[in-house]
Amino acid sequence: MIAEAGHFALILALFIAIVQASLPMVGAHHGNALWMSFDKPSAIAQMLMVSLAFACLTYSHVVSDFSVLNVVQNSHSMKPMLYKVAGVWGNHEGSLVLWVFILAAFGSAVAIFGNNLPPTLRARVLAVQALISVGFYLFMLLTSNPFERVFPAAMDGRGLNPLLQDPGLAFHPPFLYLGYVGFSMAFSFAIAALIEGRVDAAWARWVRPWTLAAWSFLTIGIGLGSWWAYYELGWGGWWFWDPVENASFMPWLAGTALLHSAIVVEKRDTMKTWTIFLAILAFSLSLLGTFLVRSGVLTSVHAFATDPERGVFILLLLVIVIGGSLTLFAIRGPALRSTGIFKPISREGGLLLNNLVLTTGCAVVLLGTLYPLFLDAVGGGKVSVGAPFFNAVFIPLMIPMFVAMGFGPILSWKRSDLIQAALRLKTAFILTGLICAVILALLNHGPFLAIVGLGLAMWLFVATLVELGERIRLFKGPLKESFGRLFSQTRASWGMTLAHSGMAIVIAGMAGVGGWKVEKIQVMKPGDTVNVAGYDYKFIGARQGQGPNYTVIEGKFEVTQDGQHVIVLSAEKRNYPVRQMPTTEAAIHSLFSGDLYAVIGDPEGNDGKFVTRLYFNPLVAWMWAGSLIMAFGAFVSISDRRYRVGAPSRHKIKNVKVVEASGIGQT
Amino acid sequence: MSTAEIHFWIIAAILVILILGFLCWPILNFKRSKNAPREAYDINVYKDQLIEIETDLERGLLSLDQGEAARIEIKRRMLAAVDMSDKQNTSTMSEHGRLILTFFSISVPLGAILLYLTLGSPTQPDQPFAEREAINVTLQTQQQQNLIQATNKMVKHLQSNPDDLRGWTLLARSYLSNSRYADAASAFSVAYQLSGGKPDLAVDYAEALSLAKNSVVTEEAHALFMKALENNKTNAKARYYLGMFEAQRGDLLSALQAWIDLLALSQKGAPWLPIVKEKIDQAAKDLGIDAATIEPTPEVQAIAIGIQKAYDKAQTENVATPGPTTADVKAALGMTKEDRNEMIHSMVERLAAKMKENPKDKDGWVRLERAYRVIGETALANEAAANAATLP
Repeated sequence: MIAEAGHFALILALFIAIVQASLPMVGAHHGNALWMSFDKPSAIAQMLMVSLAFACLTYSHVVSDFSVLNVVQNSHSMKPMLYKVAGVWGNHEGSLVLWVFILAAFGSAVAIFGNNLPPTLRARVLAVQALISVGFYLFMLLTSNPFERVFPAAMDGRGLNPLLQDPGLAFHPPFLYLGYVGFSMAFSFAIAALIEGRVDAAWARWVRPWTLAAWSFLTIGIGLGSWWAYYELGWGGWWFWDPVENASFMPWLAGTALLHSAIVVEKRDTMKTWTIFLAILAFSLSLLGTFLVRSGVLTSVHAFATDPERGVFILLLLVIVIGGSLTLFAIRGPALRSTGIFKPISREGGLLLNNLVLTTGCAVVLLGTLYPLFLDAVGGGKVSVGAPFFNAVFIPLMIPMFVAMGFGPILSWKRSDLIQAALRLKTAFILTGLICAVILALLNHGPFLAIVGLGLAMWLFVATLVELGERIRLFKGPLKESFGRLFSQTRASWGMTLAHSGMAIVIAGMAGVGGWKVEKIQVMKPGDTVNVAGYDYKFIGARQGQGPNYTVIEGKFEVTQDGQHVIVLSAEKRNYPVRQMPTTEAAIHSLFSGDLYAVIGDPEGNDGKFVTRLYFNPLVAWMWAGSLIMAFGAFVSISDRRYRVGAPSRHKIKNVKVVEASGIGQT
Repeated sequence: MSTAEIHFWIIAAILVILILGFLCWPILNFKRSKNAPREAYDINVYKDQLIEIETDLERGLLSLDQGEAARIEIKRRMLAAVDMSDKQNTSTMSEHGRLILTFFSISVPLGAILLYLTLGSPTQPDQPFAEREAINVTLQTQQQQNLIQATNKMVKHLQSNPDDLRGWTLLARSYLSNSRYADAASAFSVAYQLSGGKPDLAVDYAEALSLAKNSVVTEEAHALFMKALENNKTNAKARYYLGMFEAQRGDLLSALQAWIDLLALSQKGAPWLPIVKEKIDQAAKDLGIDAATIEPTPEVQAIAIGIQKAYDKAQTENVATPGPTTADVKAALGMTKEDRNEMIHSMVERLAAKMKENPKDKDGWVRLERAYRVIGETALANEAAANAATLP
């Protein structure tokens, strides 16, 4: 009856969402405070019901209740507990439950922490949020019900896919979804603003923390995904421009643009229409990503057409959400008036450049992802648009932006002087030049693009630090005073410094592994030594063994540098007989300068010879370290006190009680 | 109503009450709060921005004239906001429509229950894996306990009626099915003696003896099997264990012979055929010979022919027209192509033999002609047709 209780809770959530989507919206339109006041209790009630449904489904997975179809198809009584839990969202139906759970959680967070929002805005935001939820509840209950039962109960489950039993894969969907769904909040704010017909400084300030939260989760999600690809797929690649990856990268690009343009709206009361558009775009791309991954359209357009129920439903949802919001945008958007004006060379100008580049990049990725689908749909055959296209188009596009990124924070609002800014950054120029010269002298070879990348990373990192130095007037006054300023910086500006320097570290990692990766593939017999980028990999030998439910070849390599012992790497190649599925467990040892990476292949002959692949991936771990720093920067920015501006009250003295009642938002 | 269903509806009722509480809260507890006008929220933000400018100035992030310009801009926006709020008096918020709201609130759980009744299955209980395993184990132990009780009862009964042959046989069988082979053997030995050496019991007794010795056929068991076989040459179990006896003695060739004899005597579809064939293949492989080269003993061949004849006789007597019986057709469907051809040929031969005994049957000749055509014997078919034509 736990499973049935979950089912009932999910249905209750649907009906609560219907009420939440309609009553506050009508109330806000007619100025009816009573109707509007439904927003908060219904948002919280909806969240409670979805959490209950989620908990019930998790329970069914944990106790292996094989009378629930979803558990039969995706779990197994012999699975380790961690993967029984992760299996809840590791499948289509369960991941949708996670989707609506996060959707409702964001909604209730606005209900609880949104006391500083104008009541009409809050009512509309929550109504739009609930409208999205209704679509997803219907999708689940009508086409992909997670609580479908089987009678009689199955003897055991069918879900033991070894590739999916991996911590990286278990935890990257929740982060990705937190990101995707987080953008729904920005979307709801945008739609509410369009309905209200006003976007002002206050609106921009309220929408930003939600966008920041979504963005940082998405950053972590994408990072985890690429990390998984790096260590599990076993050839040291970390990004494949695969449609599934692009699906998560596009909302990230749009979201990054949105974060920056919202600043302009808040500070300068301009770029409003554009910001609204970006909010719609970011969430639409999130929905598109979900559609691409969930409908099976990627495997084949035709497979999608033969079993269309789910796909058509998501497509319909996509058309309604994107088409509806863009129509509303077309009608109401032009009415939004901007008051702020600015010169091209200014902080606004820099942010605008950033927006243009990011959205163009986003369009490029969209084109590259959807083109093969369209071609396939109209009978043009199968093509794949891969890394060469994206590398040729996307990367050159980003180079000017990274150059401008160094300048941006140092420019002043409204109008600025490029020469003066350059003068203030002269330290950065000199430092970058010096470090680049040293690196070039040391490496003295390498692909052009990688050298450019390393230079850009250096420039961005140094410029960001110099900007921080400028802000605290380092070396321009007493050191103690500068130190004091360092601690009085707002958290928002700390967030910027962290995120930009994190980006610099990511670029350095990409350039390093892209340009100077060393790969050696050979047959080795025990005792053989291969030199990879200055490290001697000595093949100690391989043994065959037996794991819990797989057979394994375990190869050991001793790595030395100039005769000094570094580490013993132990790489595995597993074969799961039940699934006839081999997996590669690469041995990775991260050093500051790069990763030692070894993979054991098939035996060659009978005398202990094995195919081995040995790599040195310079700076590769910097990418993930950098993305974590970026995400951390966003969290620091969210904690800024400016997002805790209290709710106003016209009658502060007469209505002390009311103020207390709404005191959560007070600082 | 099952307990699972009752539990479910209790939980559902709690949820419904909880949700009704949440949704009716704004209706019952609505306070005419003096909501600040929309612009007041904006003005709060602008005020905060002004403070930020002050701190920025203090830190030297803004020059004095930049700060002043920004301050003027923000103040201008503040003025615009105040103007707006004066123009539209937003404090006239209405709050009617309680009845409709109550209707909506109640329709939430109602709608949910209706939809749930079409989608859900409230009667189906949870079946956690561990619980199901526990139930299975309990069921098994219970069955075993029942069996033990029945056996104990039987033992008590036999203590007072030691001459009950049927009782001893039943006890032995129940020991056998409970894997208590030694007990089964001693019970069978009593039954065997009581029956005065009945061959059927001899076989069962010998089998129990072998099982008690981990399937090693002892001399005693061998003697019993031989005795049974003397009585009934076609006893499959006895022949099988004789083969085992020979194999365990190391005489694989004799073992092979015993099993091939068993194969020849067995009818198609006998349940022991797969095991016997496996034994034959294994023995032939170990000996390094082809099992097909070994013929059944002449004695067995004779018995087999006798069985076949009796079978054929039964066939012809039972069926009015000697066409294929339903059993034949069914068998043909499950056969390989070679098997099927063989069967057809044998049927045609049967018919031809019959026609030799009874050549005046015109319909029979016509059938034979058709049959010959089907299997491609055109000359014979023509002959049959000619025979048919001579008849009126």
